[in-house]
Amino acid sequence: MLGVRQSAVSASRLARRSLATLPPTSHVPPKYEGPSYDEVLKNRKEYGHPVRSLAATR
Amino acid sequence: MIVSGHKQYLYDEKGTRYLDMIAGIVTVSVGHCHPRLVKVLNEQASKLWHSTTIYLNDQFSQYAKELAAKMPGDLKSVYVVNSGSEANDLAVAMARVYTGNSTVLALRNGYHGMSYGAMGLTSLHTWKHEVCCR
Repeated sequence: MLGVRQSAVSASRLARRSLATLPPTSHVPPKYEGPSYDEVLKNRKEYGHPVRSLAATR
Repeated sequence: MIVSGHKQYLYDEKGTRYLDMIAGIVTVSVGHCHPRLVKVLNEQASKLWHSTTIYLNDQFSQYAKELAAKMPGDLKSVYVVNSGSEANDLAVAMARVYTGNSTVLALRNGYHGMSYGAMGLTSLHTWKHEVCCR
C-alpha cells in the first residue's frame, strides 16, 4: 500500500504522462504578445484582491 | 498563465496546451471560444449589448422557448440571472416561499457563491468574508 508521499509522486508522474498523450489538434493558438508572466503576477498581487491570488505562487 | 482557449483546451503564454477539466470554473459548458458561439456573440455585440425583460426582446423570447423545450414536466418558465450566485439566491428564495421553511443545508467544503445570501451557504474560508453589523 502506498504512503501519502508515494501516492503524490505517483499522481504527479501520471499527470505528466497524461499531458503527453493529449490527442492532436489542428488549432494553433494565437501568439501571445501581452505583458510577461512576472508583470501580470506583479499587477495581480498589487491590485487584485488577495483571496484571488492564492493560486499564483510560482 | 492562461492566455487563450479553444473548445476543451487552454493555452499558456508559451503555447502549451492543457485539457480544461473544470470548464473554466464550471462556467463554459460548451468549451472555450467555440467558433459557432464566437460567431453569434459577435453578431449580437454589433446589434445590442444589453436587454432586459422589462421590454420585449426577440433573442430572450427565443432562448426561453428553446430552453423550456428541454425541461421536463411543468418547468416552462425561464428566469435569467447573471451568475451561479444569483441563481442560488433565487433558488433559496423560491424554496423558502414555497415551503415556508428557512433552514438551508449546504455541502461541506462547497462553493455556492459570493453574493450576500449565497456566501452563507459557501463553506470555504477563502470565499467567506467577515461582515460585521454595527
